[in-house]
Amino acid sequence: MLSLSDILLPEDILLDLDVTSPATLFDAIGQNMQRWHGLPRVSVAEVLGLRETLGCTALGQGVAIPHGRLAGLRQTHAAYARPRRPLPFSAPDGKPVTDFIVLLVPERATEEHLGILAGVSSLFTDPRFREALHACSDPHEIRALFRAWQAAAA
Amino acid sequence: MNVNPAKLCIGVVVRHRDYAVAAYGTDHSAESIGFPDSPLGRAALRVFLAGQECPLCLAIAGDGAISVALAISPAAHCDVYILDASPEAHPGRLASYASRAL
Repeated sequence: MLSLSDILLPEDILLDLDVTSPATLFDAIGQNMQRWHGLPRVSVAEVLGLRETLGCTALGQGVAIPHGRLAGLRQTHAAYARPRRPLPFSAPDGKPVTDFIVLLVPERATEEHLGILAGVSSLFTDPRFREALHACSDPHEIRALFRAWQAAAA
Repeated sequence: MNVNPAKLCIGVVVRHRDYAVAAYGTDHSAESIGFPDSPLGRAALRVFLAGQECPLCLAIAGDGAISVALAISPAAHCDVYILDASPEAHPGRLASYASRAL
C-alpha cells in the first residue's frame, strides 16, 4: 500500500510559506507543482479550492489535508506545506492550521487515497510526531522523519 | 439484485483501537486499510467521504458503530447500514454487501 513517505519529495516540502489565505496557499502549491512536475498551476489551485467548497479539509490539531482529483494525472503527488504563520482554516476544533498535507490524486485511485489518508492520520494522531515535525527546519530532514515514522509503523 | 457500478461502497469494522476500512467500487478491489480510532482518524474518514461526488454506501459493524457512522458519514448522498458482525469481519465483505443493497 502506497504511503505518503513513498511519494513526498524534498522539492514538494514548502516551509515558511508567506501565505495569508487558503487561496494564496493553493496558488503557491500550484506554482510548485508546475515547476517540479509540469502540472498546470491554475488547475491545481482550482481543484484544491473546489474541494474545500464540499467541506473543510482541516482535521484538527493544526492539520489539514487539502486534496483534489486532477484529470489526466497518472500518479499521486503530495506536498507538505508549513505556513509562516498558522492559517485560519475553519478547523473543527477552531485551531489555525500549521501543517498542510496536500494530495493530488488520479481520477481512479480510491484505495491509494484512503491508504495515504490512513497513514497521515496515524502519524499526526501522535503528539510526539507533531513535535518532532515542528522541530525540523529542512525539507530533507522532514522527508526523513516521515519515512522513519512510517517505516516504524509498518 | 442490482449493483450500481457508479456507487462507491465503503465497509468499516470498528475494532479495539482502529477502524478497518475497505472500498468497493467499480474495480471491485477491497483491501483492508487501518485508520486510528482517534479524532484525527475519524476526521480523515469524514473528509474523504465528504469529497466523493458519486453516491455512497457505508456499511459499518462493531462496537460503537452508530457513533462512528454519525461521526464520519456525510449529510447528503450517503446510505448508511449498521450491521451486526464480529470484530473479525472483513470490511471488504461489508462493502460488498452494501454494494448489493437496494
